[in-house]
Amino acid sequence: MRTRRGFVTTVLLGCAAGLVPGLVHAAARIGVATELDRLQVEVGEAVEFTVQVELEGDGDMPDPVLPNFAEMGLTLAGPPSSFRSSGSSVSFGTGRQTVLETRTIQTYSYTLIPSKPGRFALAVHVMNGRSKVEAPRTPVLEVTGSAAAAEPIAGGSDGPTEAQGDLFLWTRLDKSRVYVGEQLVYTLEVYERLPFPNIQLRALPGFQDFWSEELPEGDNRTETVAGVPYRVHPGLRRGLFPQRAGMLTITAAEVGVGMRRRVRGRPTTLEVLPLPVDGRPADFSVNNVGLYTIEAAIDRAKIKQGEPFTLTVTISGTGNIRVIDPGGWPELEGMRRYDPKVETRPAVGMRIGGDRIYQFLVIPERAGTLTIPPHKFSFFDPATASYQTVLSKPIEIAVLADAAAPAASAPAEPAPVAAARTAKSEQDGLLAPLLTPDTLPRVASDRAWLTPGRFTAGMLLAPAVLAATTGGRALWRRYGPDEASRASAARAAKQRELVAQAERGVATGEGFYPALAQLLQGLALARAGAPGEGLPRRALLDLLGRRGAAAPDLERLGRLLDRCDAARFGAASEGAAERRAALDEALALRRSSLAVQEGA
Amino acid sequence: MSLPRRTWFALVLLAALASTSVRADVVDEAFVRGNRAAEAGDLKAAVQAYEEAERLLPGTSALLSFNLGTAYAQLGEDGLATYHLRRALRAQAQANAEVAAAAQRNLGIVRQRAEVSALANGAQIDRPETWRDALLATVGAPEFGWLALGAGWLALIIVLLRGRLGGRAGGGVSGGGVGSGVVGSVIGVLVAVYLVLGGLHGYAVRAEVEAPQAIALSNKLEVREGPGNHRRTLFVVQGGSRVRIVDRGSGWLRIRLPDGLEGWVPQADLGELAGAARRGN
Repeated sequence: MRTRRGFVTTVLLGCAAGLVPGLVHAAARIGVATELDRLQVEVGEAVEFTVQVELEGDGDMPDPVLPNFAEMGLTLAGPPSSFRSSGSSVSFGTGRQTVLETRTIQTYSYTLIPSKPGRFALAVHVMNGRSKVEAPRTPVLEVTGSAAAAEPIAGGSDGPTEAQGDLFLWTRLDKSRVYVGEQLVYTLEVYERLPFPNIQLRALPGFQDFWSEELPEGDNRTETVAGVPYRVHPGLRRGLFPQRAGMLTITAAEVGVGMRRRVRGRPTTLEVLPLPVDGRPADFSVNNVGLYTIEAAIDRAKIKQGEPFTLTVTISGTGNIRVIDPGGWPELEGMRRYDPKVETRPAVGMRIGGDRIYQFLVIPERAGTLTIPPHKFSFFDPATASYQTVLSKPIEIAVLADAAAPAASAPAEPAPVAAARTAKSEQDGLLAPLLTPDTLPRVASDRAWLTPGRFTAGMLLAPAVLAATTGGRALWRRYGPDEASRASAARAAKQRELVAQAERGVATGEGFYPALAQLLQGLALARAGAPGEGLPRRALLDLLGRRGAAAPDLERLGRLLDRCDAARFGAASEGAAERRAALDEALALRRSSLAVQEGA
Repeated sequence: MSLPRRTWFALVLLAALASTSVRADVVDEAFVRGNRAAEAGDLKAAVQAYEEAERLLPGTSALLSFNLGTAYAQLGEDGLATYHLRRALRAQAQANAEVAAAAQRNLGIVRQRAEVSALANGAQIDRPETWRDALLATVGAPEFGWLALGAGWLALIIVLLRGRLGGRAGGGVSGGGVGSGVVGSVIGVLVAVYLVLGGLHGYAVRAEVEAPQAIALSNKLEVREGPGNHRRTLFVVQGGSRVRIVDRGSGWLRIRLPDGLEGWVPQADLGELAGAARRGN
């Protein structure tokens, strides 16, 4: 068994060893192929051109070298789409090496739109190192039809006079000669014989020398051109205001029919005349071309001094109403005028125009009858080729006096019209005047000591102290001193009271000796403890002697007690000095061996 | 030993007094220079001199703030005028009756001008001060804080002393009921003052700390949706309007108008009333 198993293992390993060195990569091979989806198209009709580059083996995928599409009048519609696919295979050959083959295919797809007729060979190749690899077959595209005309035509309102295939664009201008700033109407129309489902404007006409405003589009209609019926779609309609004089060109528009076809129109030219110099008013602005009127109105009839009201100046008419320049406004005597709020309300229609509204805030500065003078507006009327000036009617205002109206003569916002006058009225004394002492009164620090933090701490600390005190008392009552301590404290308090009483009696002798006797008796009893209660004096002194009191102290105590007895019962009469000496001796005894031993 | 110590003390005192007087002279000199410029009609020079005096002044001066505000008002700078006039009326400035009355008057005139300008410009302006604003401004003064604190601590002392005295007396004093009632009433009044006044003062102070009050300095202050000049302008605030600062960014402040509108403005265009004095443009 061991011999057979070893033989099989050796054979398998040998086969594997023979296979692995023979596994080599195939050499790189490059190929290219091209294809057109249609070989014959009309001008403007899209065609799909596919280029496929194939790489076998390792190496970089080369880019295809394309023909010059622009020279052929072929326009690329958008960027090309591309995708890549790859696969590998292993081939075993009898008596040969085993080969691993890798195959990668890169496919590019171009959408081309021809703009001129002709036959165009679309030769494509790729470079493999220094060698050129060409496609085995070169497709030839045949373009029929006629090229789109590129030269501009003069603008006008006429329609087409000859049929131009199944789809073409036509441009109309309502005027071929206009003044600078005069409105004209540009219309782009799409003529089609067949119902094309998906027509889109792909390139707008160029209006770079014009102010352009959108206008409502027209309706579909049918029209016969040289005996051929067409459906006409409105493509675009704009109101144009030329911004300079001369021959101006509006470049061609282009529409797309789905993704496969492009149709381009023709550029259009028109003549733009400069505005005449003769008769031009001094305050005329070149933006004011059209036909206008002007009106002025105020919002209230009754006005008080210092009370603001609204003056509305409205310029109405046809023309480029958004950019008209009314020029300077007339001075309002006795009134202050602020910068206006401006609003434009355009009219709807083929003629651009509407209302340009200027709303001023006006404040009468004095009472009486004030007049808003006429407002003037100068413009050029292209219909009559003349300059005109229109005026609004003057408005008279009866302003009622109001003494308590400081704003009436208060200084104004820096409006140029009123600035000088208002500054003067301020200095007339409406504002409280400056105070000009020689020295400046001051406060040492503008920072208050009571900061928010300190205030909060102070506010919280008061109830905290109250709570702590109350709690402390409760705790003292609960966990305070024991009976002996309380008795000791009471005794000490009693002694202090007796000492005070004796002190009061030192001078007069009144109550001195009873207090002193009680003090000394209490001292002896406290030292002797409970056994001393009720004992006669000699027995008490003996007991104190046995309790460790010093003999001299006992002798002094006995002598003092005897003096007290003698004084109390009239056997002796002592002066204040003797009483002071007796009190001092008693106080000394409190600190002698007669003092109560703590813990005893 | 005592002689050198006394000598040192005297020298230090002299040095301190000398530096104070020198500084005071400089401030007075700038102030007088501003007054003269104003009398000569050169308001810009007056403002410059007043601002120099304010910069040199270690503390504050209601009169100086009033003159600055009035000079700015005469120059048509409503935002800066409002800012300085309001600073003159702060409790810390301790304005006397004359200065306070003049500042109130000028502030009213500037306010009217600002309202008209806001109407003309379509700008936002803060609503006029309500009784609530006036109440908060009044009780926010430090005096009311001291009053509340004093009442609270006085009540505490009386309570503690009464407990101590009552404990000693043992309640055996005849007629103690009447005295106890009076003391109790006094304590009640003090506690009420402590709670009500302290609460209001604390609320006012807290509002000022959380959202400090500031004045729009530019005559037309553009408020943007975020911190940065590239952000969209939400609305325009009239100069002199009171706003609250609710957030701070790098060089930008988020403000809130009294009617709730919010947005961001450059820090340089606002003057905080509680902060140190700032210079105008």
